[in-house]
Amino acid sequence: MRAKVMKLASETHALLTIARFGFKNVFSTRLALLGQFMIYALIVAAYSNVFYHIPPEQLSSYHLTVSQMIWYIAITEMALFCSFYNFLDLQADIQSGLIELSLLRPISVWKLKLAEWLGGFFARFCVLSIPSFIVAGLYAGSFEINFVSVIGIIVSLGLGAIIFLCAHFMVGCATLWLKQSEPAYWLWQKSMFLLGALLWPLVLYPVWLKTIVWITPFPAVLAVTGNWVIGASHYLLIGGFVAQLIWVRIFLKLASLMNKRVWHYWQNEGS
Amino acid sequence: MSVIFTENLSRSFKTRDYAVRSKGLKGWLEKPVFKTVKAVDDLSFSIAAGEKVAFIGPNGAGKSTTLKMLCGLLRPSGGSAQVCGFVPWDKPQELSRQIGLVFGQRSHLWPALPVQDSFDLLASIYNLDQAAYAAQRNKLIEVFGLQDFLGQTARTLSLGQRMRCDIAAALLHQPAILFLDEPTIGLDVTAKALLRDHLNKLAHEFETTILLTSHDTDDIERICGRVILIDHGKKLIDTDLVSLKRDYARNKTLRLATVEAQPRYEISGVKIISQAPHQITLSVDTNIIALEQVVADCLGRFKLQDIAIEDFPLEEVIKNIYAGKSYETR
Amino acid sequence: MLKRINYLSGLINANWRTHLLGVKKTLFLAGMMFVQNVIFFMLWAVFFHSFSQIKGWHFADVAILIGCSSFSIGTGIFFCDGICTLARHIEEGTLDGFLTKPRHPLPLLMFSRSNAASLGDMITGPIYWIWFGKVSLMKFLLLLTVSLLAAVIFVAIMIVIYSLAFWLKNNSRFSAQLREVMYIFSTIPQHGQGMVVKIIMFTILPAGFISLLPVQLTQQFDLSLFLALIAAAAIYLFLAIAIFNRGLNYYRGWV
Repeated sequence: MRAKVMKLASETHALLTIARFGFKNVFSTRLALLGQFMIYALIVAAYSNVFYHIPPEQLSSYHLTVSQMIWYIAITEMALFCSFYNFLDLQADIQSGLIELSLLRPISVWKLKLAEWLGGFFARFCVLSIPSFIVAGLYAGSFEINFVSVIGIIVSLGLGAIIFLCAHFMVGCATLWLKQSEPAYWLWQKSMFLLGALLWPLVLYPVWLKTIVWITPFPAVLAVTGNWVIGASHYLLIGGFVAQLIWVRIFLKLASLMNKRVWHYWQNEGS
Repeated sequence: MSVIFTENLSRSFKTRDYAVRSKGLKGWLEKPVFKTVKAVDDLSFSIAAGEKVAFIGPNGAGKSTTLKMLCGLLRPSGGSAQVCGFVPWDKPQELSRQIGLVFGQRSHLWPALPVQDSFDLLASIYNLDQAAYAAQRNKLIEVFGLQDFLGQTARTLSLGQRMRCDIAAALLHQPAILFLDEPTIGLDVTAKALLRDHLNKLAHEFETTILLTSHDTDDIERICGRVILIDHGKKLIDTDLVSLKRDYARNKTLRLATVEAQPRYEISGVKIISQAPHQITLSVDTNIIALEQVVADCLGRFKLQDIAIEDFPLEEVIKNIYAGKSYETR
Repeated sequence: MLKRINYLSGLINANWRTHLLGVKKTLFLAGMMFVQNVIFFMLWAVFFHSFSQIKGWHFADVAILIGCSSFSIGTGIFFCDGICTLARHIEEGTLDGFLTKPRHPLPLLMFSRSNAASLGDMITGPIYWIWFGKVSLMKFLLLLTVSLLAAVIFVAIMIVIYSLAFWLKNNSRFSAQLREVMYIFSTIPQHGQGMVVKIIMFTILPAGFISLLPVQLTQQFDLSLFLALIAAAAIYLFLAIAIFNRGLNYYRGWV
């Protein structure tokens, strides 16, 4: 028991160190961060323009305002922009064979990658969050957030990030079978946009589709976070939080299983 | 005591045979045909602690495949192996603490991080005791001469610098065995010599077992004391370097500087390699004629200003073995 | 002129044959691209399930807009993906391989690479026009013509964006981000934007020609707008080649 606790402690320490380096790494590409923010601001601007032209009476029938719509997309797009194209990193490692060195380390690849990418996610969040809130506030003309909703958004983003990055790990591993993981990524990404309600809240979705989406993990990545700015009920917010916890558990397990599959494939098929 | 032990180790790969496929639409609809390639065939050897062994063979001989099986990256099709008491493919992560890997073009270092940070990160991953890590790191920095570029990011290092850092990175956790797959590939002459010196210092300092694959015979001669030669997955030769040269190199090179302007020499078993005014270089086939006989003869024929006797280059020895011209023990 | 056409078609044919050699992979990539386009487009289906119109545009108009931008951009990338490697070639010093051939480097560069997945984008356009836009045969032909002209404009603006690398060092990331900005404004309905944004969309970043104008022409055909589109394609192409040549001379040290 004591040995297990010691092992867990040392592993946690190692993963925190990796996360710290993932965090630092983001700042080596400052110009790229600025470019990313500019694109983010343009997307929010472009969709804000669409929302301002929705017939007001139709929008209010869903108990939504233009300001809430803009804040919603600002939050979900921020979640997306904090995540980056991490699967490409893993794809490159597999295609170059560099994965062999990573496989032969005392800590599993999936844990190392997840820690590094979470560090990067947190770094991008630190850089993008305040400017994003300002951009959203400027376009919306009001601030749909308070202290509680900011805490909720941060916690929700963190949990969503774990699910998202575990998915990135699995998509990256798909390179072994597909030779190129982009097609898997496209499907995952667009499914997440649709079923995770990237652009507009789930309240606008048809009832049958709303039922289906909650069977998938996608709302836990985006919609649940966005709900904090559209005046969702406490019931929905708590339910969303619980859904995120469940999916985090599932995706961590899936990432671990995928890691074992990668080992199995590599040992039997070679590079 | 053996740290590496293999018995009847084999590994086959199934690859698709596109040569038999018909062209066009017919080819799409045909059932794929596979062929089996035996990369490693019935390989058995053992390596004791502290040995420095060159694992050589022509391209496609099965060297990298064998190395990967010994690291646990590949599961064999047959046979068994033990490395540091572990079956590699069953316990690769446990074994990883006992071995260090340097795979030519693949780096342990994080490209965007300074070398020092990469070392610290690896120390964290291997859960090294801080004091022990600091002592080991400082020793490796000294042995490999890394002081000047510890603060540089890995992507800004030259290939030679990066190789030295990679080997140091592979040794931070004080592994018992170091596997090196083409460590000097792409390096210039100076960088190669530097790296070989460092590896020799390392082996002396830490008593690390080294298993090295390389096409560069200078790597073999200057680092290793033993050679295992494989071809088509089978072990052809397993001997120490001195015996290899003695038993498999029948030619000696004789360089003579003479007073005579145009020295000539013709005798069975002796070939003229090159000729220049007052110089002649001869290749003596010691299976046909004794070297001392040729030397004595030359002393009698010419007024010699200088004489040098050289072994047949190891490169030529190995080339002849690959070509199947195996010269058995005299 | 015929020789030049033969030469250019030879370059394009080489890419096509590459795709045919790995036809399963080509079809897979194109198929996946199409599927992902459809999944994303369903977001607009959801939107118009809840809202009837945005400033006079209905679901069919958005389908035509997205179909046009998919087809134009897809066609541009499918044939001329090589232009997106210009910044990287300049950074890595590998442009010289194109400069030492006895032909102008721009076509060699443009047609040096073709993106198989873009076939999926090319298929997306016509399917959206027919299935979601419910256009007639005449309108379909009009959209095809207009989108091909828009593809020329897209390629021209890509030439300009990536040619910036001649002057701005290490800017391949910046060029890629400008390209993303083009995508954003081409695929989101911006007909409600103010005058300033519209001027930008019809000049510096001609997303307006790629998406807005085709929808306008479908809603109400205007010969002068159509001729303006043809003229715009010619002007943008001419300017793009001029900027590329200027940049090339600067790179060679001739300016």
